[in-house]
Amino acid sequence: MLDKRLLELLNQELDGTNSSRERQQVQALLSKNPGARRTFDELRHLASFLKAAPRLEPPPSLKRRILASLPKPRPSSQRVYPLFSLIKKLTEGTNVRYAYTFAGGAVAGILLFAFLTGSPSDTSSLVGAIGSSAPSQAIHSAEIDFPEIQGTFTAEATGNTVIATASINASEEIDFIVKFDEGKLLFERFQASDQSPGTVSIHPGRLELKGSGAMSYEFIFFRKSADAVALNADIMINGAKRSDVSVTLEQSSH
Amino acid sequence: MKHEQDHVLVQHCLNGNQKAFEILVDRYQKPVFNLAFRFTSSKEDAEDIAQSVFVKAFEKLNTFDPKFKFFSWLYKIAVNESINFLNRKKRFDTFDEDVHSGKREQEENFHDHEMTASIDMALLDLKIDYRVVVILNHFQDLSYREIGQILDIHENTVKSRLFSARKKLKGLLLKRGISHA
Repeated sequence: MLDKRLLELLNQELDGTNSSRERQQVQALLSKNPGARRTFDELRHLASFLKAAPRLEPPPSLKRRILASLPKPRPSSQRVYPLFSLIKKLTEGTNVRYAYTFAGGAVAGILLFAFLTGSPSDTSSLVGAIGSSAPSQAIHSAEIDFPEIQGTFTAEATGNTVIATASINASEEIDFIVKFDEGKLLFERFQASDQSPGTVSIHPGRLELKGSGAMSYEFIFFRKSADAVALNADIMINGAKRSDVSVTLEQSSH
Repeated sequence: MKHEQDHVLVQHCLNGNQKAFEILVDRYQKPVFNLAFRFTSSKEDAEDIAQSVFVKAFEKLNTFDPKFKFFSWLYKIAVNESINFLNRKKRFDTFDEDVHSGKREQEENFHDHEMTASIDMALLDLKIDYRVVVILNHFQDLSYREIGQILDIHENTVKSRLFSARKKLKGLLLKRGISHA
């Protein structure tokens, strides 16, 4: 039976971390102690046995899965919008008075536009004037209400983009499995609210959200055709199906 | 940018350049996947873990301290994710036997030879504290110091765990008829 210090020296010898003095000690010991020699040989065999185990190549889809799961960069507090950027630029150096003139003009223009086109609270026409936006289909929503999980599962289509949103609060860990028809929808990405504690894994035709607590996730798809599309979600608790919810978007007019 | 050092790429990511993160994924997806695979002995689970590791890393990138090595930081996330995964799985598996027999046999088909399968099964029989040091030392080639940093334990603790783990592992392999280990 080898003592603890001796075993430590043999292990360190295997790892190449012995000092030169310790190495000499080990060599002397190995030459005269058959038990130590046998133990050392066994350790070496174990190490080479483990080394021989092949390192697996990750599947090519892994990188795509990872990149598709990354949350969208959060808007930074330092984000500068074009109008403010221009104003900022003008206020620098000697151009201050031009900045005030421009800003004043811009505000006056917006107020005049709002006055001429409708009530100030009705901003829809203002949005329409700035940029074209595809009409959004009505939001379809399903309620989830169980003792362990409450929330909503909704789907909305804008042009060819379909956004499914799971806003749930689960008192214990759940799997929320969103299933979709790959013939009709192409999964693009997901994004989570800042504090959502869950994890999402992506599989062909399904997305698995796992976690507990308050979670809000948006799953964004590209709509491949104008056909009606359904999104179904299984709610699993402890590996067993608790319920399912479903939302359907009608045939698109696009 | 492909040849930039890790901490430079991290800085690019923090400045909003997602391409830099893609390079980090290219660089580390294999070791992270293998690490997770050695923990779980399942290719599918290893994929899920690896995905979750990189997403967590991306989300917490602003907490990375460039004084340390990026891979140590990433492996720390990978080890934690793997352990959490195993704990969750333990809770979900009603019958522990599912893990210890059915699942393993299924995975055995994945391996191209028996020896590898024996290593995986012997590793699964090691308790987590031992398994993690064996994986980090023998499969990721990390030093005692690096393992200590990842696990937040002293180098001496790494050594004593590793030496005990080797002894235990040798016994487990012998039990499985691998006498030359």
